[in-house]
Amino acid sequence: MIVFKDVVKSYNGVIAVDKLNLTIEQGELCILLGLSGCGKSTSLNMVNKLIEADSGSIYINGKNINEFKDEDLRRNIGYAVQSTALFPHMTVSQNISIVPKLLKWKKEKIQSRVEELLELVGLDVKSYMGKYPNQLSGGEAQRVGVARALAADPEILLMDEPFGALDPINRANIQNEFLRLQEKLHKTIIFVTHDMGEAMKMGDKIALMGKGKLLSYGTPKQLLMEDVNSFVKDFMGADSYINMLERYLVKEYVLPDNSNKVLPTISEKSSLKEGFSTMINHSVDKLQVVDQSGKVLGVLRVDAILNILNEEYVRNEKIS
Amino acid sequence: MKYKRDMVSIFMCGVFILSLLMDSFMIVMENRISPMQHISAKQSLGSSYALIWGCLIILVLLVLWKDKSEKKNFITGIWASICLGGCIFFAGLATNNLMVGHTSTYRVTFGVGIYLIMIASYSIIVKCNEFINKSWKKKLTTFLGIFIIVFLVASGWLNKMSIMTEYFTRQDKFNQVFWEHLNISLLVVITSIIIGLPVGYLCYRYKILDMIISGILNVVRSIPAIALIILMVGPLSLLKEIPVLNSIGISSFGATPVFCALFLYSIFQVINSLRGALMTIDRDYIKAAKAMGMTNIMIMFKVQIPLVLPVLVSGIRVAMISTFTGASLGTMVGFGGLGTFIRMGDSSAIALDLILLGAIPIMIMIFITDLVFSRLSRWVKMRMTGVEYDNRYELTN
Repeated sequence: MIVFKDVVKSYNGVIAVDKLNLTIEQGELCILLGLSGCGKSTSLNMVNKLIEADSGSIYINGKNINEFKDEDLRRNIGYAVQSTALFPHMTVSQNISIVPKLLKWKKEKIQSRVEELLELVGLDVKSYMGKYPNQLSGGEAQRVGVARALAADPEILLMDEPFGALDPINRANIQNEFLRLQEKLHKTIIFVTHDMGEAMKMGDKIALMGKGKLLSYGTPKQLLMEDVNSFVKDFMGADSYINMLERYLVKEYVLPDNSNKVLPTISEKSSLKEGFSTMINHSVDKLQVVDQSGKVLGVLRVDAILNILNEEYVRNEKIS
Repeated sequence: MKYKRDMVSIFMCGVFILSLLMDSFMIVMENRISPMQHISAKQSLGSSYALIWGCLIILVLLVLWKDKSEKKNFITGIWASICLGGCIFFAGLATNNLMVGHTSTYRVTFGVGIYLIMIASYSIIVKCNEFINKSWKKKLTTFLGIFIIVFLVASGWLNKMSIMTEYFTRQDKFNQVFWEHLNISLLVVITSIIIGLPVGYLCYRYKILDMIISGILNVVRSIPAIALIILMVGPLSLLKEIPVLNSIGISSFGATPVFCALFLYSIFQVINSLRGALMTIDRDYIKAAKAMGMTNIMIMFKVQIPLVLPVLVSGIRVAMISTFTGASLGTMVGFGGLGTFIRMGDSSAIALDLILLGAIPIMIMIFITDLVFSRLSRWVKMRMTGVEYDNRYELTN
């Protein structure tokens, strides 16, 4: 559990973080969302003391972070950044082993951990172990970055726009894989991003920040329904509802195929958002759902999507 | 793409032909200071004249025959390389012919023609290498000729030439100045590395130190080498009065001012390249290293040093080369070194051989340094990034 208490940070008289009070529960993926310069990266970097707060305190599992020695604190927190910052003079395996080596793990343990992590992030162990970062593509480098952050099995992960530099396809894939990983590992994660869609898709909770202040905090659905202020509404934007559809997979809404019409296809692994887009693109109200090998599983109908949107709206009306 | 004829190589063949026909293939003199007489190739080679023409004709045919293919260019390059070595062979032949019936004061040396042939052959080798991709083939064409020359010189083939005569008469002095030159150069570079590395790192950490040191060194660096050496004489003549310093050999002329001046140049290179390289390391790497829990010392050894190593090697290479060259100016203040020979040959009666005797060893030392350090720099880069640089992309120097 991470607690920010009245945390303030200013640079040259400009307030970057303005009395931040935030609690992140264990096992939660909390997104820090906001425009550039809203203080989200600064707040993130204060958790592992890369930046020192001017006033206020941060507690990890009840203990003030100032009670720990800097190095000890950081060796138990995973860190991943947009540029991956993989050391160019070390191989993939050496990069991943950095924190375990600092923690003086045994050689065999480190070796098996590296192999385990490469499998976890979906990279072939034998071929990627000895590669250098400049031989990797963007997506591969990011996966290694995530593996490196997870190397010492820390409880907490800090991620600063880690998928921002990837193209949309790769980004979507790696986001899905990361969500699956999180379901297995249940790490406490602070994830900084400025991408609304990413926030909606990935976050258990979203902390919306603006000009150093915390504007809203809640689940994605709560944030959508909240009537706090116009900034929040503008930021969320009308397409946030559509973005919500990314959380639902096509394969759960497949219906048996009755007609014999020729329809555009969609993979069962896609989200309802892609299904909706495809329907609009092809001006149809039904899509044929196929699995990985191309076998037809059934159809996806536009009513399914509209029902979900309606359900969400009605359900959340009752909450707010 | 249609193959455009290699006009450069054809032109160079023309140069080759010219040098065989012109008046000045070799140069003879009655003694070291008498006026030069130019002797043509036909006269100096006698019966071997036809032989050298044979080599030339084969070269011309090869140049006209070759096109874009690697194999044809390789063969032409090899032959051009053999011509390069061969012309030295012919020079030796010519010397033997010309020395017949003359005393040992008679001097025979290269004429314009020989130099032209060497330039022409080397140009053809370079042009042929453009079409060759395999690096071992390129190296073979370049170095075969040089090997032949080295072999000829070592086996005494050229011993009757004036330059070798000068060498043999002054062999002891030559050895002495050669070692002096090498020693002071190595001493300067090694001490400037030992002192320069820590200072460079501290300049990166502390801005005040950076401003002071950079200020001094930038001023020093803009002073021409000779002027700097002579400038050293002034303060040193005061310093040498101090008994402590005097006893360890500090004096106002000889090795000391040379060492001081060259040391300043060299340490500037080291500090500048270290400091510059440290500043260009992406801040993200340091941030990530810190975030993983490395201490400052660990960051220095595990991240910063490996990343600056290529630039550092390059800076040391420059320092070495400029030191080798600068040491030859030491004769101005009474230091020995190979500059002695250059100066000797530069008196009122110009003796080219003495100048060459001083300059060629320096050139060879620089060439070897360049070779060694380029290899080293490439090896370091490969360790750093795991990529062997393709010859095509690597810029020389």
